[in-house]
Amino acid sequence: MGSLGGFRIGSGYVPWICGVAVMAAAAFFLFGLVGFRSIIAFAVLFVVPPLMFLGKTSLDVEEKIFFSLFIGLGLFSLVVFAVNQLLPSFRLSAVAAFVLVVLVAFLVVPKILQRRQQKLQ
Amino acid sequence: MGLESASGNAKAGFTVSSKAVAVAAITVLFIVSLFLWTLPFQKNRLPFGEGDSAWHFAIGDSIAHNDKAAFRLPYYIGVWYYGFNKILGPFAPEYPPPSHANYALMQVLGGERFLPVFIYRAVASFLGVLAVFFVISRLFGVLPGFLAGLGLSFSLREQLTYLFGQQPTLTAVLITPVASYAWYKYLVSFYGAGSGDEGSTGGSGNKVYLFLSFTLLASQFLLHLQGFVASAVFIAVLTALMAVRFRKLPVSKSSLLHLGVAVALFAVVAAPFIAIYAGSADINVPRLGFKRLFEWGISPSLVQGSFPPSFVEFSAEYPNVLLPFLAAGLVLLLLRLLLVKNNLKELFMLSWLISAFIVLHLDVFIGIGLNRLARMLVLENYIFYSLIALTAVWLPQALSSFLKIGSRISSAAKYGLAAMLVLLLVSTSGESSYSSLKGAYGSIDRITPVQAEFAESLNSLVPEGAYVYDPSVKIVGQWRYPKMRWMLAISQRHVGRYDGGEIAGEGSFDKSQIYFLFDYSDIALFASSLQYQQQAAAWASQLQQLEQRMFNNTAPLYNGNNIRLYKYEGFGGVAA
Repeated sequence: MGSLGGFRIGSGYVPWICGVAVMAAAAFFLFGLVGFRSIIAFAVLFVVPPLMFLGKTSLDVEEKIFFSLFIGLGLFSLVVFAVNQLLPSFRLSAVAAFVLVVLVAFLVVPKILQRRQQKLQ
Repeated sequence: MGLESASGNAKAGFTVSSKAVAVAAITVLFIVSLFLWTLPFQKNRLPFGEGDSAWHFAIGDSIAHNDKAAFRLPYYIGVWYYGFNKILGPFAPEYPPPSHANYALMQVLGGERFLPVFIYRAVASFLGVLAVFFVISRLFGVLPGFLAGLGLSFSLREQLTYLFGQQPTLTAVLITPVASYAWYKYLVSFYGAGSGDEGSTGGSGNKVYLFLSFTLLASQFLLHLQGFVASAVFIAVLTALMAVRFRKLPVSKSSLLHLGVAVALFAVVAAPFIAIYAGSADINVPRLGFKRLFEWGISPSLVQGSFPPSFVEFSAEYPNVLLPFLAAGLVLLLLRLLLVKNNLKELFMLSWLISAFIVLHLDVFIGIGLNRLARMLVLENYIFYSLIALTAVWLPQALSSFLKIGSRISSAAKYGLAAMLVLLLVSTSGESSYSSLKGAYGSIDRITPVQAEFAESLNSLVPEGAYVYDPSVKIVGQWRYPKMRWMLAISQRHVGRYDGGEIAGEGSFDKSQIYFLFDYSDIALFASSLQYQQQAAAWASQLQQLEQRMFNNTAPLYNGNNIRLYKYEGFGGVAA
C-alpha cells in the first residue's frame, strides 16, 4: 500500500477501510447520499487528522484508529475553532485546519523526530 | 490451582484472521446501533428531543449559518440561559467550542441542515458501544467485547440520554474507558509487568500511552467536564491499586519529566476554557449526606422532575434474565483477582467498578447536583455490561479449572453461553429498545410540519434582536416546551415561554422588539380526538382570552395554520 511522508497506509488498514465502506453503505441504505456523506465526513473529520500523528507511533492499527477517533471528536474541531479566530470563514478554517494538520504531521513532526534521533546518536 | 488469563488472543494486537473478525464485529455493532438509534428520524426528518437538544443544535447551526465560530453566543441563543456564567457574564458559552463546532462541520460536509447533525448525534451517542468493545476486546478478546457492545447498543439509559439531547455529555463520558485503558497501558509499561506487548521501558513507562492518556483527557474536557472528571477518578483509582499491587508508586525521574510535559500540554489546551466551567451556575449546590454512600445508584425520588424513573432504575436497564450473568461476573472478577497470577486486567476492571461508584456519589463530597450526576450513570452500564459479557468467557474457564473439564467442552460452553446471551439480549432489551426508539417523539411531542413552516417564516418576519413570547407552554403544559425551543432553533430567533406577569423586565431585552406567538395548532390536533376535545376546548379558551385581551384590535404579522404572531407595542403587567 501507499506511503506519504512516513505515514504508511499499510495492509493493516484495509479491513478497516472496508469496514467503514460497509458502514457508509448502511447509512446510504437508510438515508441516501446524505447518510453516506455523513459517515464518510465523520471518519474524515474525526479519525483521519489524529491518525496522521498516531500513524508514526509503534501502536498497532486498531489502537491507532480507536485512539484517533476519540481524540478527533474533541480536538480537531478545536483546531478549526482556533484557525477561525484568524480566518474570517468557518468553512475555509476547516480546510485550513486540515491542511495544517497534514503539514505538521508530514513535515514538522518527522523533522523533529529526525533531529531527536541525531541528537541521541 | 489457579485460573488462567483469558487474554491469550488479546496479546500483541490481533492475528490476521482475528483482525478480520474484530472489524466484522465492529461493523455489525455499528450497523445494529445505527439502525436502532436513528429510528426516531428514519421516517420523520423533523427535529426531535428535549430543550437541550434544540440548544446544542442551535449553537452548531448558528456557526454553520454565520460561517463563524465565535466565543460569544448570538442574541437569540444567549438570552436562553442569560447570565448563566458568573465569570464570563451574559452570552457566554456553556461548553467549550468542539461539540458545537462538530455539529457545524457535519452540516457543512453532510450538505444538509438537519440530517447530518442527527446522524452525528446518533453516532456520537452510541460510540460507547465501540469504546467498550475496543477496551474489552483488547483486554479479554473479541467475543466478550462484542457481547458487551451488543448489550450497550440496546441500553435504555444511553438511549434516553441521547433522546433528551444530552449527547455532548454522553460523548465525553463514553471516552472514559478508552482514556483509562491508555493510562492502564502506560502503567503496565511502567511496571514492566505486562503480557509482553506493552514494551517494558525500564521504569519510565511508554511515553506514547502517557501522552495519549492526556490527549484523551483533553478531548473529554473540551466535550464535557463530566467525562473528564469520570476519567480522572478512574485513573486515580487505577493508579492507587497498581501502586499497592506493585508496592511502588509509578514515579521515576524520567517519568516525572514526561508527566510534567503532558500536564503542561493539557493545561495549554484546557486553560482558555476553564472559566466556562468555573463560572457555571450548576456547581456549588448543597451536598447530600453520607447516607447516599450506602446505595449503589441514584434513587428516582432524588431526580424527580428531571429524569423519568426508568432512567435511574436498575430493573429498567437490566432485564432480570441478565442478572445471573451480572452476579456471576462480579463473583468471577473477585475470584480472578485472588487466583489469577497476572491479574492486571482484572485490576483494571475493579478500578472501573470502584470509580463508577465514586463518580456516582460525588454529590456526597463536592457540591454537584444529582441532575448532572445522573447523566454519568452510563458509566455503570459500561462496566456492568462488560461483566455480563465476560461471564460467558470466565465461567467456562473457571469451571474448566475447578472441575478439570476438557478444553473442547469448555470452548463449547463458552460459545453456548455467548449464543444464549445474544438471544437474551436481543429478545429482552433489544426488542424493547426497538419499540421505544421507533415510537420516540412520534406524535405531538415533536415539532409539527406547520410549526416548522412557521418557524422558518419567523426568521424573515422579525429582526435578529426579537424576543418572541409563547404563552401556550403554561396553558397546555410543559410537553410543549421543547417544541417551542425547536422553533427558536429553526427560526434563529429567540422564542421563550411567557408565564404571565411583567413583559421584558430584564436588561437583556430590546423593548421595541417584543412579539407574541399564539399557537393553536397543537390544540387543534387534540380537538380532533374525541377523548381530548373537552381539554382542547378549555386550553383554546384560555389562550384566546389572553390573545383578545392583549391584541384585540391588532393585525397579526403571521396568521396561518392556527398560528398567529403579533408585535407587542405596550408594556406593563399583563397577567395570563
